[in-house]
Amino acid sequence: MLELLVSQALNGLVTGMSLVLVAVGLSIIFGMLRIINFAHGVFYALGVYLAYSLTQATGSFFLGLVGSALLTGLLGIVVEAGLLRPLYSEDPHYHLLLLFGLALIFEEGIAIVWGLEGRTTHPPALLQGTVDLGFTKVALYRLFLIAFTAVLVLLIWLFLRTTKYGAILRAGVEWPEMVECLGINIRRLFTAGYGVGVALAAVAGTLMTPLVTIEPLMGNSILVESFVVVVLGGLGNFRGALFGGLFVGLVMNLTAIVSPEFSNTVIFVFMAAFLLLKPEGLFGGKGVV
Amino acid sequence: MLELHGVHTYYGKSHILHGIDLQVAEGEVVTLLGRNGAGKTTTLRSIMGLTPPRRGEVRFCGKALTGMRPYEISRLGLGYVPENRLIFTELTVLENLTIAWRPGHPWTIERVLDTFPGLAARRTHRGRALSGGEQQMLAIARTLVNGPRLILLDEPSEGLAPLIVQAIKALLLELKREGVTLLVAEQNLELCLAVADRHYIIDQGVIRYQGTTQDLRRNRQVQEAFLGV
Repeated sequence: MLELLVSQALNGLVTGMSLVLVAVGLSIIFGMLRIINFAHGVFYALGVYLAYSLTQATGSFFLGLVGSALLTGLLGIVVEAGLLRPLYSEDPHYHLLLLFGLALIFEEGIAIVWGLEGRTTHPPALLQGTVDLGFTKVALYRLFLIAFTAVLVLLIWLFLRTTKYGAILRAGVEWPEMVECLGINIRRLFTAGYGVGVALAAVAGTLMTPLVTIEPLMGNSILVESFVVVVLGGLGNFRGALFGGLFVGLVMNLTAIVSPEFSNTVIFVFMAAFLLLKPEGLFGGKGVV
Repeated sequence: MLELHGVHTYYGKSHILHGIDLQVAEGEVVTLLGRNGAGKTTTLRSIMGLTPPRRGEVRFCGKALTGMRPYEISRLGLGYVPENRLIFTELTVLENLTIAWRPGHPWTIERVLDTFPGLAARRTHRGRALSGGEQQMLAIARTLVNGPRLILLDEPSEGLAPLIVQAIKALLLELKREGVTLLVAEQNLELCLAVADRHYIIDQGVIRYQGTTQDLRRNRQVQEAFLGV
């Protein structure tokens, strides 16, 4: 029983850390641009497919990971600067329509380029095998995923907390006009923020690929789960994304011990409860970091 | 140094400024007086490019600002201390100053902290922990380290206790002695008369009066008509 608990808790951390990356990206974008990025899931899926092809072409999982993050981030920059920016002065419904439309187009694009059939991959050779923890064995890749995302999240936090650009970003979330009046080109900063946000989704997706089946619609469930994460944690907040992501990951995987069918539903019970009792989320309105 | 020629500004369909003409020369302290809703904030926002004029022209140091974004206008040397201060509440006092600092002018962060000992004592505190008066000081300090050639100040005395208003007055006089050029939007006539050389009175988006401190002090009729004094 203990073995099962530990193994499911580790799975929960794996799912959770990946969700944290997705939700941090979603939160950065919401914090800066005040839009809910409905295309976030499809950037996740696109990142997965780009990494898949790059890994096949170069033979290196890590080149695939970095390349896919860069390409997805670049596409995000083009989308923000070219399509979203002209709409900021318009009714917010236009962003939603645009992002929904883009998500559908990219989804179809993925299906046309890579096909509809599901694919599976393996972890890179370096990260195959298991680690013996004494009472249970764990796949090395899962431990790597947890450690890698933890370091990445820590680096993002340090960037926001201790660097001048991090401070400008936090300031821009609060009073964008004021930041601009200090001679800082805030639009460029926002464009970069969107690029980084979707690149994080690509990284999260790529890291999960050896553990799941790749298919064109895989971004949809992630989008829904990451919405649950930000409802629990509070949208636009780093701590909220961290807490919410780990919580959702753990709850889903631990529930699966008792009832696998219920594991995808239980998070919505929590979401409903939060929406009723604490709609701003646990860390809502408490700043960015 | 700063000139407005026939500036018309709208918020959506509502026509707020009806042809504002206004000049500020280098080294001058000029005020823009008026009641709530007279168009003071809109005038400053028009200059900064935050609410660009639909007609007319703003020139700064001989250069037309038409079509420029606020960050470009700021880089030309216009500083803006907005109404409500807009302090970055999640950033510390020092971070508020650090992100605003630009090289190439005498107002270093050290000098500003010397000028504002109250801020120096609270440099590691977050903006949200400051009192209203301290936030106003920080807003001015933040603009100073940005190195502007002219500062637009929007209602620096608004919502502050009389004692703090005295401190703001002393600060503005000190900035004036240092040769800083200021355009101050205010409702507080006493403060304006104490610190400035020339005054404009705006009402319903139109400049109704301009004159020197001496003239405005004597002109009871203008004071009553537009300021309700």
